Amino acid sequence: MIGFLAKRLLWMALTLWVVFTVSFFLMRAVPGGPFSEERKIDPYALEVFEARYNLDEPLPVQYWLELKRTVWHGDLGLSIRKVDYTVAEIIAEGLPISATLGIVAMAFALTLGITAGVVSSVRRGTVLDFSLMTVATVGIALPNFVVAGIAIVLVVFIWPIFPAAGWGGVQHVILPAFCLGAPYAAYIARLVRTGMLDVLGQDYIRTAYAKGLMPRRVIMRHAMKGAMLPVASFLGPAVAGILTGSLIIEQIFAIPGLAYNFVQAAVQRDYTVAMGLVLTYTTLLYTMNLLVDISYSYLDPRVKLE
Amino acid sequence: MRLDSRKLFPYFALLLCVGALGWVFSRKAPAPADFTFANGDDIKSVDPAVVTGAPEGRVIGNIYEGLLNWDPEDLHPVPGVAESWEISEDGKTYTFHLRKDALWANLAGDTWPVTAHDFVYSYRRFLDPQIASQYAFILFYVEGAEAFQRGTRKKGDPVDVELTDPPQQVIDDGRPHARGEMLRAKFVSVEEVKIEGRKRPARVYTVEVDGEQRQYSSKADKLDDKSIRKCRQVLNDVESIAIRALDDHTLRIKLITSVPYFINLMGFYPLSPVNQRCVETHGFPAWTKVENLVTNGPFLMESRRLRDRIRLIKNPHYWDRDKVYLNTVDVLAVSSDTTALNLYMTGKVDWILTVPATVVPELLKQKREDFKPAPYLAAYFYRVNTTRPPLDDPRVRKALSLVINRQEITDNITRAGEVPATHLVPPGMADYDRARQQHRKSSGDSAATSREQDIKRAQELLAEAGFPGGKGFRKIELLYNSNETHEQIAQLIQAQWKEELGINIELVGKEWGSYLADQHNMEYWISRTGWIGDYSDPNTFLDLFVSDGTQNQTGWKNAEYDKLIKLAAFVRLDDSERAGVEKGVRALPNWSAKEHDRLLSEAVDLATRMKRAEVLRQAEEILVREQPIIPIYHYVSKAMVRPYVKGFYRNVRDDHPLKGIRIDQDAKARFLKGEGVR
Repeated sequence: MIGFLAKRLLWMALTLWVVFTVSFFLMRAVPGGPFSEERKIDPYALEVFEARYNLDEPLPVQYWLELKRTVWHGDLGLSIRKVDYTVAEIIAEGLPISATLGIVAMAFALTLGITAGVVSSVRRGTVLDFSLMTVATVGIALPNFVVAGIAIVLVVFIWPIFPAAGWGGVQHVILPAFCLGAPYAAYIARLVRTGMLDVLGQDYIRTAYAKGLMPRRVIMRHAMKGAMLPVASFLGPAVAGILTGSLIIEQIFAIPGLAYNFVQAAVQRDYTVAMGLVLTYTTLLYTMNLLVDISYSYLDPRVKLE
Repeated sequence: MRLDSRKLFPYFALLLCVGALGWVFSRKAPAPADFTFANGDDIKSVDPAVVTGAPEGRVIGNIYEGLLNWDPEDLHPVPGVAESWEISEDGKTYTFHLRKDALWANLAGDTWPVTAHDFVYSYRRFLDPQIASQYAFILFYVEGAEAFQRGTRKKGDPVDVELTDPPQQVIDDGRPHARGEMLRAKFVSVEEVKIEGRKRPARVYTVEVDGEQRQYSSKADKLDDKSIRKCRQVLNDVESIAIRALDDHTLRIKLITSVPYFINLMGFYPLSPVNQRCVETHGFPAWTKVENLVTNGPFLMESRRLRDRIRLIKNPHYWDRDKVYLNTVDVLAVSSDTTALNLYMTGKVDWILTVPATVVPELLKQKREDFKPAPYLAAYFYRVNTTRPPLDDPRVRKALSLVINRQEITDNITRAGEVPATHLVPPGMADYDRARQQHRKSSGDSAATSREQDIKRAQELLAEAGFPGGKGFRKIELLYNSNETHEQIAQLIQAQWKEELGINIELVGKEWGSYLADQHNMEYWISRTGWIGDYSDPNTFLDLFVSDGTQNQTGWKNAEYDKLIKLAAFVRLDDSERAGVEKGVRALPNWSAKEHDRLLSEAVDLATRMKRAEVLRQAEEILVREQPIIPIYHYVSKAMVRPYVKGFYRNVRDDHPLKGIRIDQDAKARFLKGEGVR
């Protein structure tokens, strides 16, 4: 177990370094720079700003300075565009919000998805199965902003139970979390149904029935566990994605999470913020995948961590 | 053991989920503020010297106060920290008398008096080359300011060498802008030394210190010559800037020339003072944090959350606190116009800056009291790269402009009553509007030529330029930043050019950064631009296109134009004109001597302003004739504000200071009940 973790952490460090390098050079290869604005910057000012952020150094020197600061000092630097903030502050403000929204969205997705998946697999071929799976297919196909648009019309304007947008109390979380979680719920429902159908045909399920166990117990205790494996592997990247937020949901509901910062940093060429967020996202993704791998060994006794 | 932990795993996961949900659901939304508005995007900073955007202005303008404020109705300058001011006869010397009850304040309740020294410090800081303020040019009319910011100097001039140590220090010896220790020296020379692999050379300054010559450079560590010492920068003597505190409450500013709109600029938010103690105690960026920030405006910043909200509270120490009616204000960062509109419609927000173009016709149809698009100081136009043939031929540019059906664009695409434009400067500035009107009357120029005439003229011009029917005209590109409206407009113009002139163009939509880079580097043929005026004077638009100006970006040069723009700043009435004005005033019946004097000075002032407006108008005429830009339309403000918000006036800058804004609580209650919201 410890050897496994050590190996994975080493790989993680290597991955981060590769991601850092590729992002660094890609960002600087894109035309424009952090100081391009509608009012063209004065050449004198440009000189000062470039010197301030070491952007007047040759690229390899810049790369070395950035790498040194990030790794050696563990410092992601100052934001070039939001000048009052450090990158760490931006992440510290945005990540908990994206995470909060993500957790609730995931809770929605799992509850709805697993329930729908189990029900439709048990009632395979019935009208219930058909309608649930139709909803799920539509749910996967519909983009976020359409779901959000419909939801806003329904529960903000026609039946005003939720605020239109904003962040603060629990009332601000429900609607965006639902919209964010809906496609995941749909996907999970299909995964669970497929997994369940696969498992339900296996010998050990027949054995369980033959032992005289109640159907509910067979499904909940024996079949579910097996059916969760594909869900678990889907959850790794999904959780990482959902925790770092969704640009569209954040924009529609004016939620101060990380995703919009990410896109804005890319558009405005805020090199330091973009880099900080790429690294954060990589770390999260890697950690989630690691957790998924660990959870396999709990869900399926045949899997050994190596 | 292993079996146990496996059994526990699902419970553990469940517990984690429940815990997280519990934490989420225990959150409470902050109580709604007295007044809430959607401020567009997040603000970049609360440091007045480093920002340029309108959203920043709406925050900074309310937490700081400059020498003057703008009247919310018509934007004329009114007292701010300065309670009165005098302008010398020649229009070059401004003396501001600061009020004694103006205070700096922070959240902890500490206060300090605001003095003339604070303004001297702030303006010097604003001009500091290391701050590199994008708006520094607005003080360039002040004696010594441009040289200080640009670092121009002659041999023998006194300079200050800012040393690299100590790294941070509060210095209290009359050179308060300083961050490092200052070394007084005499300037000798500067040379540029190329450094291998770097795109810019290092500047090596030779200065004389106590009769001994030394060399300094900010890049000393990169240079081979080890005798060169390291410094942060070399500055002109700060005393060379003609901004002086005569005493604690008198500030004197001397200009190189009389600038009619200079007094207006004194209310512009980048010229807000900052508190020296705050800046130098905490350093950057810590001084901008709410717990450290010290400001002098009608409001204090209570909290600031990125991309969420800024909460402002009434500053109890503000001198004019009786005119501040709002106790709390929420400034929301809402990047989507649709979301802002949703918030407005559900009563969560009282003022939004704009609405999406798609809902404009519907809102107009409803004839809403709270949606009345009004003229706004902003222009939508195309820049033309005049260095690339065939666009280097003014006849071609003119032809391109003539065939654009602007009415169709504003009627079918933008749809909020934008004003089709064939000139750059938007309407709404009284003197300039009058100059235009007079010109139209006197020249008998019935501006309205029919569209058929325009098209015919355009075709002739194009043929004259050697491209009859568009034959032989190379394919050119039209650049814009990717956006639905810009694209629709470009498509329409593309079709019109094709149909009327036989010219094929390609549309190139690029994301913001690449679009800006192309435009700034002049790697384009024709490029879309929007420009919002900084201050209400035509100069804020016309100044863009002086030859080799940073903002020109068209390669267009015209000596006559430059001369007129420069001339406008120096406009005086000559003797015969002055005599004419005097004669006119004298002819008025029976005024007392005092009233007569007042009337005369007003008349002279008006005549001077009109003369200046006429000079600027002539400059614009050149611009329109030569057509380095193709104006399309002038924007309108599409703001919506709830009718229960009182003290909110429409003006061309769409500028609405929060001081003076009131909420009519009865009207609000009635309104909310009526709409069934909240």
